[in-house]
Amino acid sequence: MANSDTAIDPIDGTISIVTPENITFRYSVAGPFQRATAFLLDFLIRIGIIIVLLIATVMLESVVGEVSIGFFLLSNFILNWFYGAVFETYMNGQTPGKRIMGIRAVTVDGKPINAMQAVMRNLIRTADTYPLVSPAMFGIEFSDSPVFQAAIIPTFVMGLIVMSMNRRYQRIGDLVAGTMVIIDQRKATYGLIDVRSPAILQLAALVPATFRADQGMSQALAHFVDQRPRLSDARRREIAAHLTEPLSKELGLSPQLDPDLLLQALYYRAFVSDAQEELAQLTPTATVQYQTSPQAHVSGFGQPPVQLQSYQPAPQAVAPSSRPPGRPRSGGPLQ
Amino acid sequence: MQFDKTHIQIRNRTESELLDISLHVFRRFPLQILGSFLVIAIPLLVINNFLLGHVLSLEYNLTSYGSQSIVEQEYTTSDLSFKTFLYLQILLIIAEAPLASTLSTLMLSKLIFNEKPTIKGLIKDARKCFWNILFAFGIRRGVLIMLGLLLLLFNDDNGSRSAAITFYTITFIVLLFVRGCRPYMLEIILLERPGRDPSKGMTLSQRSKMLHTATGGNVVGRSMFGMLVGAMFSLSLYGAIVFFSTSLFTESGTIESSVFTAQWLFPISCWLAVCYTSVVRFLNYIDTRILLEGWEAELKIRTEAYKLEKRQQLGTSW
Repeated sequence: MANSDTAIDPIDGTISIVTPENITFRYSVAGPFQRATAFLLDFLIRIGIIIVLLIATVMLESVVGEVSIGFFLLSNFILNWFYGAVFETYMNGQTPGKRIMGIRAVTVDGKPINAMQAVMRNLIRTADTYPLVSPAMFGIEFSDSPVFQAAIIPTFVMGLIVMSMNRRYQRIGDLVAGTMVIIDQRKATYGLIDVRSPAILQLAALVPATFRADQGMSQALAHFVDQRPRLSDARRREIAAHLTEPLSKELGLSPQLDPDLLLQALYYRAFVSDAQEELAQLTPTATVQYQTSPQAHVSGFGQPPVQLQSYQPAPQAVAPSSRPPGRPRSGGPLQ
Repeated sequence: MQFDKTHIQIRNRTESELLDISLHVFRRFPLQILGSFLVIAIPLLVINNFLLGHVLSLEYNLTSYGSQSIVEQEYTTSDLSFKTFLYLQILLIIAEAPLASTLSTLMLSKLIFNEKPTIKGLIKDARKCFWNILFAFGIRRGVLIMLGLLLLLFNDDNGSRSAAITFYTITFIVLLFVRGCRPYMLEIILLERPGRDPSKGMTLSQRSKMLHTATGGNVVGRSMFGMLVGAMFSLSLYGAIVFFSTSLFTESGTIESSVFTAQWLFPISCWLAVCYTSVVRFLNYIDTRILLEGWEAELKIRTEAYKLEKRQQLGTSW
């Protein structure tokens, strides 16, 4: 068995979009199983609306006669075929279900979808539900009712196959309309973790004042400190040891230092003491509050949570001119 | 393991993300995964039909429809025997699922870490784990299944057959529960290669306990959810297969009590679902290890160490 040295494009459910300005944005694409929950929520909402319409039809029948049945059938038709299109047009690519699940339909360029695309992708949804099967195919007879005999069950196999054949998880409707569904925002935010102990504070004091963790280093330190409670002592040291040698050299520290302690001390410097100094320069009273508040030792330190998510779609991803006219602005990150 | 040279980005994921990523894994390695899975699944499919064949009482339908179509050529007039057959097929497939997933799991473990395995090499690897697989999956499941089949074989009347089916149902529930609580046993056996001598390192049960209890109910919840998705997936596939077979190969437009469907189409859809769930389970196992062993943190730390060393070589600093 030979190892391949060729470059690998790892599977991650993300895609990169490069703008004409040569800026790359990464989007997390929502796959069929993440979208299924939103679809089910929308389905339940539609069922709820149909029940309300049915009650209204029964109540209206005594007043306006059979016209109410016509009204119900028409409403049902519009609801079934245009529910998604209307919401996605006026809610910037989201239906209520999508909004709850934090996903959004956008164009393959990462821009907001327009009304035509919203209509197209929703009208062609039926094709994704194929093949349809009926209980009669299996010889199942619920009753003599023609409603049951004509019942059809979508298998969604067509949609699943098509979605698994492309990197953007596009179903047939998405391919026709040139759209995809992305994860709008992630809620993975972490509060600061209390790493203060005498040994760490002592070690943090030895770190030169010139130490400034860049974004990558900050993320690595934050991730390590977040994960370390789940790890054994030996494993913590094993992971931290990768950084000890180059860091000790860079910071002029002894290479014999405990790797785990060193990374915690750097975390303290990067996220707690340096941030505290900056805060103190802005509002001196904040430091006093932090030092006297017992709750501050548990988590948070009274500081805003640190965003560790690297796949946040940036607000600048969409040029303002690309927005369809008349579309209300919502607070999503694509705005 | 080189975490920066993997075919899957090392990071923690949610269950729905893993289900989606599994589709991508399938897309990237379709032949390797299916090929290694079918090497074991096809013989099992034939064996199952051989074991359960006596349940179906066959009749020929040629006079009714005058059709030569294989889908509706044979049928059984006994609704009970048809449903019993399908039910027992499900039971056997669930019981044999870990065994059938052995090579595909090994294949995935190699592919993900950028190796190019061969089926021959995988079989050689799997043979090294034979005894552990036998003890973990063979004895308990094998004995119970064979006992059930014998009960069924020697009970022709409806009453005793119902008793045998009840026994099978209990076996089914127990298996499902055991499987649900220890979903990564196969992965531990194949990928961690635990010994059976406690003096020479952690045994299978120790490793299993460590992995399965570390994240508490999360493992069981994920496993049950995976099974649910697998069941829905197999039903969807079966529906699609039935749609095409009835549209293309039948005159009656129905596959009611068709022996061909029961013996081949239904188990094929189930086995395909097992193949997909084996990928999901493998990714779940990797995800659990990422969480418990800090792979994601290690990857980030190593990347920063590499960047720092490069910077030092170039003589630049913060």
